[in-house]
Amino acid sequence: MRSHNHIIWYFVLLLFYSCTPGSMNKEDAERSLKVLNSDLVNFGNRMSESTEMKVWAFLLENREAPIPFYKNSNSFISVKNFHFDEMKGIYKWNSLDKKFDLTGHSEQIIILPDSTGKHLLQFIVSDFNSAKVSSGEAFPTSVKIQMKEDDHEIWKLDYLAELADGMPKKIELKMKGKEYTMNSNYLRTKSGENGTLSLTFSFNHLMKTLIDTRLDCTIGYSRQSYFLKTIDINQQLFDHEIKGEVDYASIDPTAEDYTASFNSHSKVFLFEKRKGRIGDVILEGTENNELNDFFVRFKDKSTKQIGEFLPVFDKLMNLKY
Amino acid sequence: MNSKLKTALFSALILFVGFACSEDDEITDPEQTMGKVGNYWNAGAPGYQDGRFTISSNDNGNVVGTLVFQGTSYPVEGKITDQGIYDYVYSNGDKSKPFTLVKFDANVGDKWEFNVGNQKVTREVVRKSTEDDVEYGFWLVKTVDVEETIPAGTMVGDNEGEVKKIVWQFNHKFGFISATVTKTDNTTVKVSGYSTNAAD
Repeated sequence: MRSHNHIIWYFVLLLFYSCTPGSMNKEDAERSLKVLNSDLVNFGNRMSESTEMKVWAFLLENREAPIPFYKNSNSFISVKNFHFDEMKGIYKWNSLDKKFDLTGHSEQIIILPDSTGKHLLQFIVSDFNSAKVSSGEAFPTSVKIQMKEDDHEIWKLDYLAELADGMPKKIELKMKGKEYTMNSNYLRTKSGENGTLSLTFSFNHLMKTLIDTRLDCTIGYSRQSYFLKTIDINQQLFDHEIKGEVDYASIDPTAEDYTASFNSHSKVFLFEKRKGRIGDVILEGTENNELNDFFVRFKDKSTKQIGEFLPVFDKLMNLKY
Repeated sequence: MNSKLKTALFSALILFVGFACSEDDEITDPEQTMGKVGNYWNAGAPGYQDGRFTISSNDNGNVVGTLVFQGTSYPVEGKITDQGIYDYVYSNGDKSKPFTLVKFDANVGDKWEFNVGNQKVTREVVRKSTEDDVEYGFWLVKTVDVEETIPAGTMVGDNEGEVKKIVWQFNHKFGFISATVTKTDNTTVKVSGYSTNAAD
């Protein structure tokens, strides 16, 4: 009976593999990566042109804006030392003096960022709390923000975090725009000197899931922080997928041949759904070997820098938010 | 106080006390290194309260200490040997991945690298005294100067650092002498050590 089971499983596996699309040839793989870049560019353009992202960009650029966040010199979003209760009120952007005037009382922070447009825009912070993490910096523990256009909600954000051992333990983030929703979760566990970390991120436009990411990591703990041991990657980007594992603990960051150490302990693959494998993601030295960068290795073993096909990634790295 | 400057000063102090693992053949006996329990280093920078790092335990060279800075205590652990100092700031405290901060017998041009993904932090010996020529408190001492270059986007802990270069000065007897920190906005802060009991 047991041997029958083996035979059945053999045929099931055979069927599975025979139905799985194989590796693409280089020409198709390059075309597929260009399609992915195009999807990302369109997505980025569409998002950056939305009213809510324009308002965010404006407020983040202005360090004096009465919001808990600002864009730091590295273009990352940082958290201010911000006291919600002390900042409550209605603020209007004074374009002449380039500042936000406090014009009234409120139990929320209501910002009117544009007095010249056809529509009345309101950026409303109804909750913000933070706590210090081990580095001494403030970390948000609860945030509720809403944007309204002529009294109709066009965007909202709900965020809740728990801290433990001076670090984030659990984060839930929900964002909702006119036609999209974004959800992200972070969960860190600890058992003695080891633990796990899981991170999920999804972006749905209307009824379609455009981005769906799940990272599952095992971690070790040090006095002040944690470090990664293994990373399991499952990411859907439009019609593409990135899957793989990185045995981070085994990678020697000071090795003379670091790229060899990295590549021998990481297996990351790029796929296009239903069409097959585009290639492997590996680390290689650039032309003068002074710098390392990520490359795609195609079926014929030739390699090309990912940035050549996905320049949008470089732009995203520069934006950093 | 400007939070960026605080971050820079704090980063410098954390880095200078972020001692880590050593090579097996190096002596880690605290009686023969700077890692004796109770050893402290005081440092300061113009416009800031002074910071002090004190070693509270040493287990075969594994050092645990406390950095007190701006009224807050920060726990720091690591390892120090007779031949050098290593840190694991960039490995988030993973003791299996030490990064050489200084070797007291290093020569100009010696270089150490630490890779994180496609980013590479480098530390290179850029100057070595041949005579006592660097001020330390009331003395002049010899130093090994190590230039650390941090590429943009390098994460330190959960945050991207706001520092792009640090020139460290170390002395084989007193340990940390100074760190000149260049931030990403090109401003600099010099953190100077002014006293320690490590050489007593």
